[in-house]
Amino acid sequence: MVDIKPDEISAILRQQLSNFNASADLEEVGTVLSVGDGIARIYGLGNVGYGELVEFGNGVKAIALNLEEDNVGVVLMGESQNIKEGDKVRRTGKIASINVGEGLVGRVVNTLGEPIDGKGPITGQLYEMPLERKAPGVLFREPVKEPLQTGIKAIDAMIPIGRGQRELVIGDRQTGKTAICIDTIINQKEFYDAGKPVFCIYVAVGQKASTVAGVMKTLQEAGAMAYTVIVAASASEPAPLQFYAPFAGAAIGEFFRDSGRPALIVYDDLSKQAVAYREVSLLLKRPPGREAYPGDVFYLHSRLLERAAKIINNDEIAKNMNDLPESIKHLVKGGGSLTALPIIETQASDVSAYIPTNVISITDGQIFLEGNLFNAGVRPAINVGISVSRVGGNAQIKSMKKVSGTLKLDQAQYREMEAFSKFGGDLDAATKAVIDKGARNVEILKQAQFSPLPVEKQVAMIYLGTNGLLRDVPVKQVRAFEEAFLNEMQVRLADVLNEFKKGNLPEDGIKKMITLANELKPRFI
Amino acid sequence: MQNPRLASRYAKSLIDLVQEKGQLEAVQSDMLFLQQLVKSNRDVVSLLKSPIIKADKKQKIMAAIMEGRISATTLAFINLLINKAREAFLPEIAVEYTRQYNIIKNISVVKITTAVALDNATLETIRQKVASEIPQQVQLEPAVNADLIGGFVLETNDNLFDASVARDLHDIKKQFSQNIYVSSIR
Repeated sequence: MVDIKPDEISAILRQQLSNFNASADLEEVGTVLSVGDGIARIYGLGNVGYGELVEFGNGVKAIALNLEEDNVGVVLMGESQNIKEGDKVRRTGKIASINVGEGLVGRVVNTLGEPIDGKGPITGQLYEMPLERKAPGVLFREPVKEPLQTGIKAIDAMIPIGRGQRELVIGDRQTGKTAICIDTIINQKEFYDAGKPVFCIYVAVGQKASTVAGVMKTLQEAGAMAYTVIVAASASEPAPLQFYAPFAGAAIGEFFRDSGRPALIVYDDLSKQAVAYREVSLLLKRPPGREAYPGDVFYLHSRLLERAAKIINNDEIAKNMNDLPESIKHLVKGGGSLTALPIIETQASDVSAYIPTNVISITDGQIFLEGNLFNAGVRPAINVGISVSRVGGNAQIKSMKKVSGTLKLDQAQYREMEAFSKFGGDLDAATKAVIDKGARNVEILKQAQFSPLPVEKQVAMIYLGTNGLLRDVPVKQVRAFEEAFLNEMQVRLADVLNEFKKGNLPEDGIKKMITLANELKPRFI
Repeated sequence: MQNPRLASRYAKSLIDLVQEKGQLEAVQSDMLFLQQLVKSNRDVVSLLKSPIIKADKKQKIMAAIMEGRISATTLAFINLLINKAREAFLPEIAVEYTRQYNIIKNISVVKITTAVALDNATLETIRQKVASEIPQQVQLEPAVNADLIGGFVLETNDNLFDASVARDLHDIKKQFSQNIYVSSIR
């Protein structure tokens, strides 16, 4: 901290004091009937609205969630220790909101937007964004058409994600769900370096604080914190802060989306958020439904995920967007997007449980991760058979679309045939060809953690795989070959890679690439 | 744990009955007496709340205390509460009765809290000031709380007008804690 001149301080003090408005206003108050378990019941507050922020005498804020005949149920956004029966509660007339601005980038904040990384206050202009906000209407949206490159071959080739899409990442514990999302964030560095950043928001709900610290360190080491905001509500935070954390993340994402920039938000994970919501709902004595979740748990997730959108690329129309907060009206631009990657953790691969089925039906596709594949060494452990992307196909770049067109089918055939090959008997040539190709494709789709691949390199590698050009390379050598091949490509055929990136598949370039591959093959046989 | 819904139901039934009988004022003074009693005597509250003392014993004790001081209707009401095992809510019901009585009589109770006790002349001036603002009759309830330091707090129903020095200090404190200038100094 720089030295502070004494006169500077007193000048500020005087200024603040002179601005201080001492006149009192008529306030609406209520009285605490009971408090405990992170909720309080209030008598009075006759005119309070649903979702309104109320304030206790000691400064703790709360949100009114249950308006009943004779009392108001509020959830506390802070400690309940110093609140007593009979305390006064004031209406604030505001709905819960957080302050968002460019200064948040690179920071770790809690659900209330307060920094928790010890780097001092958030700098720069801040705009008030409500936690709960209606998603943009039909008029203000555009179909998904731009790709969001994850840098993971299996996803970009077979389950492509577009900007503005909601793609669910689902799987058991320890199957690499978070890893996929972190890789995706890291891969956006390419765009940050190119001056067109995709702002990333990582929302950690109910996780260990050490895990969040680990994620932050990983992102820092990869240089990804420069365009990332982490919203953390760790397991020790009160349940209301945990279930509001994704909404805080969405509010930050909307700031970038509505100012015409692309953003990516990872909700890690929504099953824990649903559990926190269930806790609060049960304490508020709302009737439990299936698996004891309240009746509106579907709405909880659908309204959150609906806020992910691709905004129409027309400033005039975008300016009239519904439910724009007053604070950012002058900043609104068209063409922004918010892509959501919600994560759901299943128990023993049971995707027919309540929350997984809900979120599967809300999202535009899902990426299934399987423990069996993970243990068999197929990492990322994506089950390509049941993973889908409902809109992302329109978002693939042309070259990738052409190259990967047959990949999903090939892999489906391979999985069918694979069972036969296990009996060891003689196979006809056609079956053998399918199995050989499939086994090599599986190797190609494997990828180490924290090493996302640019799309042009993916195109090059998948071209070799789908066209059967790796037949002579032993399965075990495929990954070694890939590394050598991509290195050589970058050094010797950078112009071809550039063409791939633009979406072209030039014939002479492909010829050169095949020659290069053939040149390298003998090393690995 | 308070139970506003229960209190309002019992109070309403009592008020309906006494309105028919024309004993509204008499029962109101009983209720004020009861409020005074539970405020000054913790033992009565403990007695009412005790789950160990049997209902018939409670009825006898209450009859012995209240005999001659309250009307027969109120005593019958207390016995009804004891029979229904709701006697613990008696203080709450008494307060609720007064509230509903005030609505019927078009009286607005305004609580004024000050740091030092006010003399009657000042109270009367304040009463007239407040009365000119609201259509109902104003009943002023003075209270003293030294923590306010100075100024006053007016309270009526769910509304509160806080013009105390303590509140101003609290607001200033809050303004400094959210000091918007700190970031620019750093």
